[in-house]
Amino acid sequence: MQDSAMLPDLTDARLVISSAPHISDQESVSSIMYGVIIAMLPALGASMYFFRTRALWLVIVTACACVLTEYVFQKLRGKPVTIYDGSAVVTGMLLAFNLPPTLPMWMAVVGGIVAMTLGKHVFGGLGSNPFNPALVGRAFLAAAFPTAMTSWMSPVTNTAMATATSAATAAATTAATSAATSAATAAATSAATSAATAAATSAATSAATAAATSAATSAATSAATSMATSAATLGGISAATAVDTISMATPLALMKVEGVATSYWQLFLGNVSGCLGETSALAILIGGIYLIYKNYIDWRIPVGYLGTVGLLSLLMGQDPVFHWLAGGLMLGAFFMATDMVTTPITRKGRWAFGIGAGIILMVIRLWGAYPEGVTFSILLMNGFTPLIERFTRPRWYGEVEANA
Amino acid sequence: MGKGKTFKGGIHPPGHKELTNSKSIRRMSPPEEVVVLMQQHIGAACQPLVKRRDVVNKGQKIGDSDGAISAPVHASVSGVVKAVESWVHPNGYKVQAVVIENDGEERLDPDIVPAGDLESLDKGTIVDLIREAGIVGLGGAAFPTHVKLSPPPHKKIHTLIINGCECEPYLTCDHRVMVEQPEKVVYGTRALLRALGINKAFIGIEANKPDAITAMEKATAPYADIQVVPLQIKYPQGAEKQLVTAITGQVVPEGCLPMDCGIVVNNVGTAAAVAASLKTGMPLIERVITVSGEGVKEPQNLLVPVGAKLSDVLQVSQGFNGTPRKVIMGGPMTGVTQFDLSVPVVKGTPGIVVFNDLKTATKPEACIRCGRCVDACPAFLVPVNIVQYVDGGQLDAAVEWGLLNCIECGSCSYVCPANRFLVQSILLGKQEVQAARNKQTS
Ligand code: SF4
Ligand code: SF4
Repeated sequence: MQDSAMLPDLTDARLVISSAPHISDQESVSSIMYGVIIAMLPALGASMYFFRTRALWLVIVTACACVLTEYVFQKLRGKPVTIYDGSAVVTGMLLAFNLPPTLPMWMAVVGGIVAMTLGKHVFGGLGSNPFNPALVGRAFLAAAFPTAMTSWMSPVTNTAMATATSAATAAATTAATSAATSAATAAATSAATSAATAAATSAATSAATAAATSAATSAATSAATSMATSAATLGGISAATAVDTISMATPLALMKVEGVATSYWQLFLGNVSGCLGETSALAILIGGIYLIYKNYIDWRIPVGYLGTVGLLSLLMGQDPVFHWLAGGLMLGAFFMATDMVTTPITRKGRWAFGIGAGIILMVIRLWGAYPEGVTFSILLMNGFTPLIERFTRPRWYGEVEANA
Repeated sequence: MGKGKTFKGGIHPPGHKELTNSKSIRRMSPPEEVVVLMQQHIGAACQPLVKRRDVVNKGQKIGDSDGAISAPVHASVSGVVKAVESWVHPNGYKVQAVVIENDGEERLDPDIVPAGDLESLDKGTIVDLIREAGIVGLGGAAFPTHVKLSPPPHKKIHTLIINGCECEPYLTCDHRVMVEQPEKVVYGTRALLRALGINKAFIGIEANKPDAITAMEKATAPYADIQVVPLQIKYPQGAEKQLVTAITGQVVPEGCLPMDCGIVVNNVGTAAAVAASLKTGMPLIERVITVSGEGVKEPQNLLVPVGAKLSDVLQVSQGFNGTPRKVIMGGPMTGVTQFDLSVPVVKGTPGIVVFNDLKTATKPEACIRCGRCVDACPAFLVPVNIVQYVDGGQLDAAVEWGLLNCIECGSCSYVCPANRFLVQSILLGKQEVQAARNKQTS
């Protein structure tokens, strides 16, 4: 090559050769994950308001369990440690949001370990897992500890002894640790009718037996358990003035088993019993809108999911608003069904995912034995995701039909 | 974002146009030596028409080819041929080059005569003049202009689109040409219309150049057949097919050219070059380029002789501002990094951008299937899946997912939060498919 007039300060230049493009936008995997964490803060705040420090501890413990599991797994496998990308924290927080506030801490830890191993790392880590890890953790807990997973406490704000919060929480914790028996105990303390007691006892026994059985049979078990819980709750309500808040059916269970509706306003605010982060539609909406605004989730999934649920409820003569607000649908629609890794990548596929999940959810809620179906509707659709993607490949620019 | 027409998909990279968009075009004094590459266009390379020690005039043809798709090259200075040898092309490969030592006399070639009134020229003459002037697309692709103007007889052309988008960040050369020489662009547009025998032209300009839009609207006012179309600010607005869709609503079918839809697209710089060579007879021996990026002391728009070396151009811009890490020929979205500053400016060089740091990550993370690449792709592909197939060696599946329809705009890589090398893998995949097909046919 010919000599060229060297520029004065080029001598120590180390010019980099690379293929275009030479610029990139500022978004990174971790900035997205931290964005999702920020979006969860309103729901976390709400759960702390309704369930007090119990909620915070559950979230912290579950998130730590997830991060630690990821660290240990990656160390053992000699893989690069990616705990700082925020995805393990997201999984942990989401899992905690899907747990009853009364769940014993050690169970939450087990859930976190399962979520990170069976849900994520056996498939090769972030991006390779077919199922939403938090929901895998939750499904495992529901199968392994059906009673504990369906023992609810009423929000602290709801009780006559609201001021004595720590006492209430402590009571709740103690009660919950003996999960299998708590329903029966509560029922007993309430001095309910013998019929209720009988129902509760038999249900509790079946629940205890089923605790060891596999996931497949757990749905039926859980139904039984929730019946136990709601039976207990009935007792709880009658005795509410006397004691506190230990056991309380979720609005969906109340509706399904007892036909008792909860007011929209209470549901919207989240002043009802349920999983940690699922009760307050308001808080979830704030986070969800932030996620959509930041382009961290695609609005098509929540709109498709909620829209389908609304439409089907109307068709079945049910109250759509109740179905939207009750249970884990809001949390599921904005935070669980929108998990990027386990949902279709195409826009049409995302519609399909949302609508499919909505249909499955309503089938479970209307005809299933289980009062709630968000987890399974999303997990099932996760399973369909590769198929959906294959059938929803967008037509590319100027695409000509192969055999047109 | 702004108003105006646009296409679907695309991205909004920061433009950094303010570095140079208000700076008037300056003429670079001709360097002591120029290197005129024999391949400055898509198509057949030229054969040198001169040898060592020959004396050449400014504007003299020094390379040509019989190939149907080719364009001659000319001396951009007068002087003595120092060497005819192989040289590195900005795109990385080696080509033949004529090295001319400038004698500083600016001695014009006697063949250079103005073409005369536009009205007195017929179709064929204009096309021939454009070919002889060595005019190619100045937007970057460098497709010979006369070929675009000679569609096969069965393809009826009805619309001319002049591309004034300049959607690549940093580049402002087209912008300045429109602001400073709007009448030249209009004259060139009229010549192109005449060469095509049609009377409908659109000049598409992104809304981030309001002064260019104003100037062009004023200059086109007397001509009812030329219309200025403001476009949304979005990359890659200037990609040929995307521009066609934005302006006309038509979609160019895969495997086809805009020509197949009756549309011819030319860059504003090309139109100005056509005007210049028809008016003066001077072939394409200089062009406006933008020298920018935080790595140059004095970002500016320069009129440089074709064949001026990178080092000379940078010298004119007061050299580097700090220690450069990337010297990019072209814009940052599609430009090519250089390691040797003796590489010359070619007809298709729109600019030189110098960065002092790497603005892209070097280590990709795991794909989180966020779908950003899908949303950004102006060709409506699923880049992540295509890349998965390419990386896995499944070229057939990659083609089924549209591998060959990628326009190589780089939008997917730009948006990927995991910094995956998407367009880079797709390029490799395309090359592999091409290689496999060549093997089959030979
Ligand atoms: S943008 Fe990157 S991370 Fe997101 S889906 Fe595409 S390749 Fe994966
Ligand atoms: S796949 Fe090709 S056309 Fe699509 S964004 Fe990437 S580079 Fe551009």
